[in-house]
Amino acid sequence: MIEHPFMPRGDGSLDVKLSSEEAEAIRRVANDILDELKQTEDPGLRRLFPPAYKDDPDRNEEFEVLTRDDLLARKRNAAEAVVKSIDRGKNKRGTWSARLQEDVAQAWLALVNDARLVLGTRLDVTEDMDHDPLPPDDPKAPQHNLYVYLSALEWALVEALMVGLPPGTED
Amino acid sequence: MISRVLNPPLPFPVLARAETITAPVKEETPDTDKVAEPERPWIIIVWNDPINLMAYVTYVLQKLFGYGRAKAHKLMMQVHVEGKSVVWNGAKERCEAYVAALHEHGLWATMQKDD
Repeated sequence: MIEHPFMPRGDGSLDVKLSSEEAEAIRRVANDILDELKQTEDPGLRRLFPPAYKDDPDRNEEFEVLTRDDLLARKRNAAEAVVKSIDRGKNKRGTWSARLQEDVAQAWLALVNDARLVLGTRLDVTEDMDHDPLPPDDPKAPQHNLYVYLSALEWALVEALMVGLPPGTED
Repeated sequence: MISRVLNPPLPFPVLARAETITAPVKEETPDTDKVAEPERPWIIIVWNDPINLMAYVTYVLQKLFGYGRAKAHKLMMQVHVEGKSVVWNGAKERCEAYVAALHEHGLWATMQKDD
């Protein structure tokens, strides 16, 4: 990754520059998430739809009935928006670049975070996990290394998006 | 600069009708010693998890609730260190909308009546 892959433009939109391989990897992740969202029983997926009421299963079921489809659709839309934006970007000499409008930048954040949640749940990560890449012969390496990469990517993305936030209230 | 309204429209419009669609399952036992009290507010709790980045949680609290950086950071640290934090309180329907929005952002949030 280059040091600042996301450059905020001051209005919520971002300019992005990544290697073509990274862009291709993110596109694959977005398509994987779209496939995941079609499954219903995957525990990784369950992390995307946590309960709203801790000790009230009836209320919780009511909440899920009302929100589940909408939530699913939003996550699907985010993944599709990411794929579309990658397809529309410019590939030149191994570098991929694009301008993301505010809504698409938010879609990137949603997709990357959703992917981390699904992957992280599958890998059963802990807060103090080692972020060094695993050796290639470790069977967990592809997922672990992808998780570590997406964490760094998300960090850079949040940093860039923070720039566009208003001061807000402190009390 | 993008302006964020402090009272955003419900992101899940169906929730605005929730109270009228479903009849209450349990009747509250009336307290005959006191006069009727205004309804206790509901609170939203965000729970710690090992996956979400601290900076991301801070960002989401700023984005959804219009909190300043310092307040959002303080709430996030409470989640991180104490395992949970009360991030908002108010009417039930608005809590549900905010909880749905927090779930959309991948945070684990629950709501309950304020004790």
